[in-house]
Amino acid sequence: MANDEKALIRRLQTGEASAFRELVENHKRALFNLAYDLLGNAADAEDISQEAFIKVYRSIGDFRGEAQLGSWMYRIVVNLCLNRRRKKALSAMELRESFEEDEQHPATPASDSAADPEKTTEAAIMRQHLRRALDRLSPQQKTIFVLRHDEDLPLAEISQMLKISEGTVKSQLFRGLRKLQEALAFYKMDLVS
Amino acid sequence: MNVNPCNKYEGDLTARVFGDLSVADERRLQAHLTECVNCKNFLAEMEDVLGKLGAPQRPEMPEHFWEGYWHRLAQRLENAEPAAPDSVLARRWEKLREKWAAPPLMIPLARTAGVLALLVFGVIIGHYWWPQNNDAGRQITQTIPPAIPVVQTRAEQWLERSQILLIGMVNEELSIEAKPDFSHQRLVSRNLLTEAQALNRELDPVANRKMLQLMNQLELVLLQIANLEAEHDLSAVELVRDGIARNGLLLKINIAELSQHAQQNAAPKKPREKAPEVL
Repeated sequence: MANDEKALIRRLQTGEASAFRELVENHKRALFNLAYDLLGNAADAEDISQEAFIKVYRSIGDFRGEAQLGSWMYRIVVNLCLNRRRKKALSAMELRESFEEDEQHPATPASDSAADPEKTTEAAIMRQHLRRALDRLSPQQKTIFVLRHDEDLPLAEISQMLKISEGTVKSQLFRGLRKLQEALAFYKMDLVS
Repeated sequence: MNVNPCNKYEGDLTARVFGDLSVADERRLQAHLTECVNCKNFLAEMEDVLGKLGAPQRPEMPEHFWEGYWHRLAQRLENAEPAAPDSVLARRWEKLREKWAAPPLMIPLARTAGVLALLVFGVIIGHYWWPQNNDAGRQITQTIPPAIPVVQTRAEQWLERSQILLIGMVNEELSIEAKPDFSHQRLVSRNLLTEAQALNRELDPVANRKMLQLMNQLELVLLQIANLEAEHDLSAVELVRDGIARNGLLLKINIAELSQHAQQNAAPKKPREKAPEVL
């Protein structure tokens, strides 16, 4: 752990308000992006990232520095996102509504899709198809896939963060890839027919 | 066309796709790829999938969003209340967890104490509910309330234990970090399933039609719980939870319990109402 980080943690643990602000400014984009990658929704991403900061604020006294501060915060975001997904899935109505909403407003960034000709290309449509398939992976598979592919975290760090073996990380990645491959094959078949 | 790679190389192929393979493993995999067409094709397909998936698509939030982020967070922190259990069910589950965490020796002792307390309670109730026959020559005609069959009591206890288990499953924190361990729940489910078989044989199918229907539904969920994988099979737990919610099982158990209590309470009241008229 870097000395700067150790010093920041010490300042946080002594309750220094400016240290908390520094932490937020340093990590807000990373936590927001991770939550967005896992949930695909900017409002939820802001909500979850802020909830994570509040958790950090409340429990920084218990942080013993066994993991990197960033990894610890990532783990908090992952858990919050999994809980959010579970709560949403419990209500079939909500699930259907969000699906219909997705149909009307595909999960693309906030930028104007009509103004971007690239989005109308086949590659972009296929990418969207694969991103949707990613949403259909199990929560654990999607989390691991996002952490490795989108966040570019090494397997060892994911294993440590999620407290599972590296073998499990690899096997879940493999299963996730298989499902994406099937989705792609299905899409290609659809195109042919 | 999907191809199946050799099981032995699944991990290496996955690591290779994401660029996580060590030099030694890379050499070993390369040697294998020269002679295995399936693994070679699989690798090409996986690389194709990742290539097509591309970088994550994220919204470009406007600068004022980031400028106001701290302000919104500070406000939220100010308004936030201290952490508390999410719901009544969550609090109940916490209590149950503590109970289950008791040392093994304490559990039979607590059960025995519970049975004794019930017996004493029954004697006291019996003493006050049955009218005294002190005067010789006076005959009081009364209907003795039918005793609750033992099998009925067992069925009620079975329902109660299933309810506790289901509440636990619904409220268990489901996260990879929490590493939920369902070994106890699996054991309880197996015991309940064994007992359900006996109850199914002994319960009168006409008088207990609804109870047996509910038991059948519960047995399906118990079977799912009993078969949860040893490792943290979170998606299977989600399925169990969906089943509980979809079938409204907790509500059905509550209704069954209420209706049984109502029946039991109704039965002994009749003689109390009739007894004074004889005098």
